[in-house]
Amino acid sequence: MTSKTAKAADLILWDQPDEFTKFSRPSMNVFDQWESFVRLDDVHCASCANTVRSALSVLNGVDSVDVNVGSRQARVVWRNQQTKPSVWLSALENVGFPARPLGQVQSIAGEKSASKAALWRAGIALLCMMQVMMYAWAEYVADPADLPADQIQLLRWAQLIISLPVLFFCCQPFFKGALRDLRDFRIGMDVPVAIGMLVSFAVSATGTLLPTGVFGSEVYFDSFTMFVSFLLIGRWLEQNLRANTTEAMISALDRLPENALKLLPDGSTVRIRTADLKLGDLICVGPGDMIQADGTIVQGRTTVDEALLTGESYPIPKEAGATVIAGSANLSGMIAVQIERLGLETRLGQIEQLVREVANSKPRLAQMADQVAKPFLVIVILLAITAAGWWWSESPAKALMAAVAVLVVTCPCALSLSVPMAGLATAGTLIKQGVLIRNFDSLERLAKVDTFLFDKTGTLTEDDYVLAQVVTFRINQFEAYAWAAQLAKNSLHPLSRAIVSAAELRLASSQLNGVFAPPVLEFVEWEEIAGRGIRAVYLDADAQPIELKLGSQKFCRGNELKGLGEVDSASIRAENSPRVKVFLADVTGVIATFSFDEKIRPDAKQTVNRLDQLDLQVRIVSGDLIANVQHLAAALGVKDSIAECHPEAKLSVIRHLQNEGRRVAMVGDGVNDSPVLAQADVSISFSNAAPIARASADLVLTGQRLAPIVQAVIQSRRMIRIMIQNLTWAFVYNLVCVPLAFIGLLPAWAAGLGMAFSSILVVANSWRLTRI
Amino acid sequence: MDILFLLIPLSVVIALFIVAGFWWAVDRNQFVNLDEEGQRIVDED
Repeated sequence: MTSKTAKAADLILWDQPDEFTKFSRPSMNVFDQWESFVRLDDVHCASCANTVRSALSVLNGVDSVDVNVGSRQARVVWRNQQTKPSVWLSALENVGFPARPLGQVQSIAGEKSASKAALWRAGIALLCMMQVMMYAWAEYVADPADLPADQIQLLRWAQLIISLPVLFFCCQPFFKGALRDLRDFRIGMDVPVAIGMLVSFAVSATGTLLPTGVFGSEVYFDSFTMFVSFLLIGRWLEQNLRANTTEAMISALDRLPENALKLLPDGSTVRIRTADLKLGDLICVGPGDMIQADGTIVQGRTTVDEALLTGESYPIPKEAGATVIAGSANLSGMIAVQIERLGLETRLGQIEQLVREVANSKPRLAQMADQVAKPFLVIVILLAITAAGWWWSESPAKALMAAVAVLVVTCPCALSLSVPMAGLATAGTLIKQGVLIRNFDSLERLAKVDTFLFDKTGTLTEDDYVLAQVVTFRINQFEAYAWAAQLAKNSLHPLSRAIVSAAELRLASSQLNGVFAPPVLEFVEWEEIAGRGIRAVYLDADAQPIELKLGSQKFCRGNELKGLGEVDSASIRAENSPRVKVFLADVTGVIATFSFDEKIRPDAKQTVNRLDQLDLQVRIVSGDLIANVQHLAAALGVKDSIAECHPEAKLSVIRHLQNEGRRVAMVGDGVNDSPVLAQADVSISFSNAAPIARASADLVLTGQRLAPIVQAVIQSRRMIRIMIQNLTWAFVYNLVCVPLAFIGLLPAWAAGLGMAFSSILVVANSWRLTRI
Repeated sequence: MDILFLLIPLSVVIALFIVAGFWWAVDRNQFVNLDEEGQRIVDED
């Protein structure tokens, strides 16, 4: 088998669902569509990315391709019926960009080996450069008559031989890249540089071998090796910084232990691989170990540290019945955990998916920069040719070296690389502080936001309510609890959950005393209407449909206080406290009210203050009653608030603000908010919010605090500033240096130094974003 | 100065050996974790 068919046979292995699910996940919207993540080691500029994209988009069954140059990763969206991984993986091979499926461990190992190769090349180039300089020095300092001709030749030969490793090993990436680009008729970043390298070596070689030839007798081996060294140092630093940001991002989440202690039915334990765990297994986690999966504690009590996910490092006590998450550290006691979610399904896994998605998306500024980079490179080559033509009459060697200087000094990498780097660095920093972003556009929009809208329930207040009081009319307390709990059982709303848990407590004790047996209602209809309540119908003993409603006062209004005595209505109206109230009603009217106390998040006031200081207008928009909302607004120091807002009303508030030219960020939580979140310029939600809201939000808070929002705003503004700084530098630098090179004032080594310095500067500037 | 005709080619050969030595070291991952190597002495294992 030739190596090609061997490779093809390898790739076919990825077509098995068991295999491709290791680096792919099914798409959320479309049936049979998959998203795969692969690593492309050889992509390092915009035109490489273009080559990859065009190679794959022509394939039948590939829906889209996203390539991120900064992280060297690609996301391929494809249909299982129409194509297979082996098809597009071999297409990538054929076009010169072999791809490696991105499993969890591979991404980090890949970065490390690329970093190693870059170091090797830079090191050898430096060594050779120093040696060449040593030999060249003699000719520099000698008077014309000092050195006999044969010694000059000897020294030049020495330079040539030492430059050979540089040409053949160190320059390889540039030549490979250039060849690839030219094969596809593209001018990539490597083409000018590769031409420069070849030309300068050729001129120097002919100067040594044919001193009387047309190219004169000057040699430039020292310039050649020097600029190659500088370029390679620049590349190595870039590589390291890139590895650091993506590694920080992914490995922060990638530290699950390889093995776990499985608890067998007979009480003994066996050590198995974490990968072999199944749902429902019991695992034993001792103090000091990391928990391998999401699950519930069935035995034991302990404290855990969930800092990996929430950014808050304090011990959280957990007892039997409490849930724990994969990636948290077990601190004090031994526990047995029943596994509920594994691998990609765990919160850790979900967050990691989001992180991968981010690593593959591209800031809009970067796309703009790519567009400029393409014609820019063509112009550079034309300028180089012009420079050569300009100086040819004076001295062909000088002409060629001027051309080399032009080719080498330009730094399109500042355009194509710096912006994605800045984005990645920001995303990585934000993740450590507890904010996940979906894509970079949302960060760019966040930087321009001037208004912040907060939902109340579950956002400014914590998810939990405590049932404070139950007032009933015409039924007794137990019936109220029982019916309300049955209605609320399937709802995720925080109030429903509070009712259910309070009811469980209350009814459990009554059941033990034999006082009351809660009826089990079988609902023939059950619906939850966002923002209003739950409506259900059950059949009573005579098979008559009985409708029950549990919800806001307006919702139950249809069943308004009909038939209630004066006393009862008065007592309802008197209950005008700022508590949240939920009403239980049947056809005769309201039969019970439940009053709740809600908890305000501890850092809500501080967050509002800091947003204020950042010149952001803060408002509360809530579906709750005016009294409650005003109470909260006063407590937090928010001047504007809108209450009793249905989701449609919230939508129109946002639209109205946007029509005024404002940029709106919405912080929300819960089923109510998802269309509203989509309308806002930037949407933020908590990660344990109802699943729909989480899926639409641009930014997801992994912890329980609001403060990271402020950080996100600050960082996004910094990111834009730094991206603009980088682009400005790129333009100014090229504008100044290219004419200098054209005129011949820039020797080749200075050109190399300039290019390396420029790309290092830009990358280091982006690195500032990793510091808070 | 005829000795130069020996010394210079000799130095070229030595330089090439050094280059090969550096490549060997990088290939064996000796430059990967510069901080960890110092730590290794203090580790329990």
